[in-house]
Amino acid sequence: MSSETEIKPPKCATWLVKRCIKPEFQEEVLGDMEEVFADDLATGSSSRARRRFILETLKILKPNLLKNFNWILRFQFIAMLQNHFKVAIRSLLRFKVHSTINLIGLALGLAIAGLMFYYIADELSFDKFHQKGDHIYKIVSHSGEEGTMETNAWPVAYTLKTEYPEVEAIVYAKKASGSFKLNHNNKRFDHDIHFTSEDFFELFSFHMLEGNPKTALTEPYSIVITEDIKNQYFEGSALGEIITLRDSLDFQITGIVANPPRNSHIQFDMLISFSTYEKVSGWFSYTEGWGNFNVRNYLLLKNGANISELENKASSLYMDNVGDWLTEMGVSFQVGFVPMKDIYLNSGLYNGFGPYAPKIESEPFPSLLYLSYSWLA
Amino acid sequence: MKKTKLGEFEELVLLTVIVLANEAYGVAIKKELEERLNERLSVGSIQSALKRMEEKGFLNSEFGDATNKRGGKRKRIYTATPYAHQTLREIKEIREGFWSNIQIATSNL
Repeated sequence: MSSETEIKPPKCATWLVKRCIKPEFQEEVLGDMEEVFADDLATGSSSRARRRFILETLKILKPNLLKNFNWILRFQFIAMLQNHFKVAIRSLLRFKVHSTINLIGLALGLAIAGLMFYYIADELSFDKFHQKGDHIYKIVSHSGEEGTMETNAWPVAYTLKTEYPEVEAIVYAKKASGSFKLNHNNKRFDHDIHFTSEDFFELFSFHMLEGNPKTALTEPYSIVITEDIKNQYFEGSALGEIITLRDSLDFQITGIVANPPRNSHIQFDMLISFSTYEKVSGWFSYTEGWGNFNVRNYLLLKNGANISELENKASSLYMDNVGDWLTEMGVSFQVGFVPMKDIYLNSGLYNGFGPYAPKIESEPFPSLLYLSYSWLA
Repeated sequence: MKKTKLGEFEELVLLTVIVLANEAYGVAIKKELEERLNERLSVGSIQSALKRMEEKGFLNSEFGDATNKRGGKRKRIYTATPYAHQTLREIKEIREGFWSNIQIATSNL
């Protein structure tokens, strides 16, 4: 017994307790801890008892046992901050109407700034998900002062693909007319349907859930539907099933694609192979019809090719082919290319394939800057 | 019941104080509760609960004797107030009310 009493608890631990615990609790708390220490000594090694004592010391630091930390106010800047808060609260309470108006204004300003941030971030996020986005361009037709059309004459894209080695692939797209309604249970349903040519999934990174993206849009009367449409009309797998459109046309489902992301300028419910359009339209040609500006085209540029070089060579495509006729009509057209990242936000172009940012008329400002500027004003 | 705010652990400590009658001081409470709960407790958690309950009026305390083991420091003996007894009874009645409605659950155990 005598040897045990000589072993004392660690000094630093008792010092910490004396430093931090309220004075009125110290005798009792330290007494309890020393009694536990003595019990531990009696039942085990002294190192274990010391270890446990240190653990107890750390666990004794509970908020309601601690001293008041008023000494922290000795640091001037903390005292100063405390004073500032007090003054602020008192003046808020004193000028209630004024401070309410101020606070509401501040809150509204912050909220609107936040909303603007989200709006702009959302606008900027458009079309970023395409893996080959840096090489994708929308083919457009400039017409001088008349503006720019987002569609092209039938042969333009085909000519680009066949005569210019820089062009890796092209896409023809055209919105299906209103008569293309889906027949289901003897009713007709309206959906957003587009004809698209076979390389559509080669260019755009829409996620194909079922079916082969390489061949899904090759054969006539092939149709690719989104997940939503599948869930609406089918139970279980829909691949290979038949969809009837326009009361008489039967299409085979060759692919199920994930719903297009909301921030995509290309939106659709169903895609029909463009080879179908060649059959149902009555007359369509890839080499004639320079006056038919009703197809939407995209172009995939080969790696390493330069778009402005291609534009220099190809912009005169209309004039080279049907220049006499156009001059006679008093019009002129040039082929142009809009990079993927600019299609939604910066082109000012109409978009028949989905949403588009409204055209901003002020040239001196970059459109986005102008947008935030006009919001602020 | 609404305003009592007796925590679960506090309730256990309070019951231990009552069980130990006149012997309820920090280490004795700790030992008794460790045995009943079958787990190690720290002096800090017991002390913190005791001080909180004293503040809320569930406990009274006074200094007791000092022992050699405690380095000559006095114990503090705790006793439960009538208010504590009343609160514990209320809690028990509320719980029993619940249990009388869930016979099936207990018989299925």
